[in-house]
Amino acid sequence: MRKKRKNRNHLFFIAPGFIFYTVFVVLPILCVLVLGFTNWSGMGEIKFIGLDNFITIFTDERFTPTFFNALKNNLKYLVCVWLIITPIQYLIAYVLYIKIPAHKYIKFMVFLPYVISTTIVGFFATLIFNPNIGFMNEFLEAIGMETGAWFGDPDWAFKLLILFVIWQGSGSGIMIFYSNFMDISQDVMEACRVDGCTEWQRFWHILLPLSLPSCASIITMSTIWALAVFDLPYILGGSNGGVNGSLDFANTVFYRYTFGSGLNGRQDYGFGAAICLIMFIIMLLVTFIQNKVLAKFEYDN
Amino acid sequence: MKKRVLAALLVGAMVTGLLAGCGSSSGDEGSSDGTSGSITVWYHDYSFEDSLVEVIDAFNEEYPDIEVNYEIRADGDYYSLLSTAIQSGDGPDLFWTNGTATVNMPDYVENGALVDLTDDVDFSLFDEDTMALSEVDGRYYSVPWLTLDTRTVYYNKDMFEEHGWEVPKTFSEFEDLLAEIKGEGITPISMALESWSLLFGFEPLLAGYDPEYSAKLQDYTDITATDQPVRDCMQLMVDWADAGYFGDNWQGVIDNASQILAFTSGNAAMNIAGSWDAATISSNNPDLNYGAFAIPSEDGTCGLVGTASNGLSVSSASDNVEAAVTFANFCATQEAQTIWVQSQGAVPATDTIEASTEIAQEIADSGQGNQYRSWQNVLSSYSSTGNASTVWGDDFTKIFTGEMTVDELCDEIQNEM
Amino acid sequence: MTKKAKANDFSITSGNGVMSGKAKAIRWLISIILIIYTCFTIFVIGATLLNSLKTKSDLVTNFVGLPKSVTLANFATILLEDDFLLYFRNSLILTVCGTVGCILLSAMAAYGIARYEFKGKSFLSSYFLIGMMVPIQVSVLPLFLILRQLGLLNHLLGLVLVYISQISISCLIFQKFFRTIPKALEESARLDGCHDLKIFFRIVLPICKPVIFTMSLITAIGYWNDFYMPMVLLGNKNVRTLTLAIYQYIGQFTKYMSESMAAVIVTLIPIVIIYFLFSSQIVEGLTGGAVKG
Repeated sequence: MRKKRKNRNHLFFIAPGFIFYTVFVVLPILCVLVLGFTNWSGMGEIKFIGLDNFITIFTDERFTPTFFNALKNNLKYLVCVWLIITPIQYLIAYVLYIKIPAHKYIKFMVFLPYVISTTIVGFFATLIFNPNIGFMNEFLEAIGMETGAWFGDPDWAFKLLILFVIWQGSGSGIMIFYSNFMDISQDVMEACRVDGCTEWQRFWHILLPLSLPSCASIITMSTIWALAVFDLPYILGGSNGGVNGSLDFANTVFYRYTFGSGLNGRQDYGFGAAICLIMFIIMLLVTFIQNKVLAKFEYDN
Repeated sequence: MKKRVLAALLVGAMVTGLLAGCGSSSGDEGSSDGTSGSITVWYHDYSFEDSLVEVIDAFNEEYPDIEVNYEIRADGDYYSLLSTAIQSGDGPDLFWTNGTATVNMPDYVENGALVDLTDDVDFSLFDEDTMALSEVDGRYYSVPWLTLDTRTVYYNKDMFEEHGWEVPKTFSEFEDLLAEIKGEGITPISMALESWSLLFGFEPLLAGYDPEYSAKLQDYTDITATDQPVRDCMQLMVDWADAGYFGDNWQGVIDNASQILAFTSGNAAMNIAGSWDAATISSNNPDLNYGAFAIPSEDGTCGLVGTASNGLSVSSASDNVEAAVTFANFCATQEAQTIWVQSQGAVPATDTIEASTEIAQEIADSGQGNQYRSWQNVLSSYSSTGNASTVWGDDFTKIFTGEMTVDELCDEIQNEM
Repeated sequence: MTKKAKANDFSITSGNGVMSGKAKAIRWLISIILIIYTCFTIFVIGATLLNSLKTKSDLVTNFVGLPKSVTLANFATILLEDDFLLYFRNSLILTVCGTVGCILLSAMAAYGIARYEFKGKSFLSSYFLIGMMVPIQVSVLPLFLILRQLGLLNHLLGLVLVYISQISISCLIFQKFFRTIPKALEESARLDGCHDLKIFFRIVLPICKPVIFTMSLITAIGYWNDFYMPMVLLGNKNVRTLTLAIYQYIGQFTKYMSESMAAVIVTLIPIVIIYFLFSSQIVEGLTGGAVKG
């Protein structure tokens, strides 16, 4: 009897979100995925052309290298997320939690860039790194050092992108880690204090294991974002993916081929949808594998 | 489980909706009396908003019963949105396209999405070249604007005066000037590593480098799009880039905006760019004393590369075609054209409209009455595969970054012609 | 000393209550590094603020230096823009309604998934991730069609519905979070005969204040800053948002460079103020700990 009641209740919790989400998020995506099997160019009849779009993606001599270069960049970015960005977020959240000197100020400032829209970040990038009028070159010139082309320099572009991502994007992760630390019961901390354990012991044996669930969700999230990254590279590197494709990602490729270069190229919605479908499959795979690994990791602790 | 079925059904419904939308692109023609009602106009960039408002105001003085609303849809996916809106039957009554310069308008015509304006609009203001923008299979589908979208060399007058530089009269004088400016440690030309910016530099250069070839682009007979002059001229431009004529770090300038800034901030002596940038330059630095010239050929002839620009087309799915056509007709009048050209601060493509700004007049005069067809326009008009312009757009920057040689690019383009 | 104060105290000191000199030095070092890092933010915002006070030609020729003369003309252009208040109202409605709806729906869905055992649970959990996997640009055309079908194109309500539905991220975070709450609290309430819904709203949600606050903040900022969806789905001038109006300046950056500087400052101010006001509240709300409910 009781079990039956429970079953109804979880539906009540899930149903509203499920319905909205399905209609306004999943349905549009599914529509696009179906278009991946067509040659729809935005106008005219929709013809189903089977796997033609996918064959083009993997065999076309012009498109395939571009696409794989973009995928490679996505992968590079993903590795940066795992090895650089997430650890930095975690550490900053931790030092804020232990209230290092000036922590209130730092917390405020570290999160601040997150409230700035990507458009404005692009604007700031111009302010600093524009080779002609930007502050960076003016400064380097003033102290007699060599100036650079920054986002126009394939050696620099990707590194600068990562710096901008850390600067702008890490705020949300830091906040989530931080609020998770704050949610850890003070009783546990109290007990720890009474036992007289060192800061390191406390970090390693209590905070780290207790904050793993939030680590898992942030890693899941940022992995998906790393594969779906679009805004910043598009704004910093332009629609052509930067010099030598150094800032070209799967989604900038998608955007370019779906909507045409600016207002002048031909748009191919079907082809774009096919790119999207492939990215979708890659993301599902990566997320699936990662969840397996993370789940194992969680149980181990 | 039930939900999954439901979801599947919904998806099915959506897709059929899309498909059905495509089949019925031409709706029934309007039922209203034509001189009243409300119509909606779509334009693709905020920079046209003020001009559009002025034209609408003037229109309403004559036709107070027709309410004209406008929506600006400014982003890279203007056409996608437009197509979707048209197919779903909720499209605007009038909208901007790039005319025959891109594939979009011909596509719309083919799909019956546009009203044939040939007999309903008075096109007497426009000459044949201008109407080419609007013409598909001998019928007209849009009302052009008489703004000449050309390319020009802007130069900083104060800087020229200060250093005693002269506006060049021949092509070799132009080359010497670049070397001289560079020699004084100033960036001669502001340029951006972006296909369109480079194109707007390349085309006037080609016109000065080989005016004879440029003149032949008009009919595109006896020549190909990648003949030797094109290759030589591209190579010359690459050499200039390597010589630092575009600045030492110019590869970091990736958009037109930064390109303009280098010029307006006094970092570069000249800027080769579109004539429509004049409004932006003046607005960016109102105190800048600048002029414009065309790159001269060796014998001193000058010309302007470019055409008039396209304007509005009428959607055949409009609920009020008559009112929409009335508005289109108004756009084709001398009054509307004058308002548009002058409020845009544009170079007029006709003698009957006076340029509203000095710089626009200067650009117009610099062409000595010669007009050339855009090389890129040839690529999009005569490509046998339809891809030449896309190939150019993707790869033009690569000859400047050293990923490709000029010959490789030209051969690649030729394959698509 | 109250328990609250003690708990705070604990965070500053290590085990024995007195920090060693070395630990102190390391903390200061980290502080200093982070303070230097934050200087970048101050620098760009400060430079923008200074630049917004310059006249047009001063700005372009003297981009790096101090203003030669101070003018508020750029702010006047932005703020006296015909319908500034209308745009502000539109943005506010979208952000508030979108955020409240989104957080409520995602917290409920996450609770349903995290606290109940049922068939298809892990599928559902993954299903809710799909929304993160594609950028919004991908699905914008079908969305356009759906809203048109519902007659909500060019209506604020249409975009609110879209915003409410973006529950992927918050749902994921809430799920993980709910798992960390001990079940004991709910069990005892249930024994007292509380209905599940009442337990959720009276007991679970209050415990989650910090996470709810964080997620609301993150969501609201996203909606406030969004210009892409309003541009596509709200074409009419009467539903234009503040960000969209301001984007017109930034979008034509070169033409309106000095106005852009002012526009950036104007967009930043409300968010910074709100964040500043609430960032102290968040700490207040946090210190009670989990037992408070």
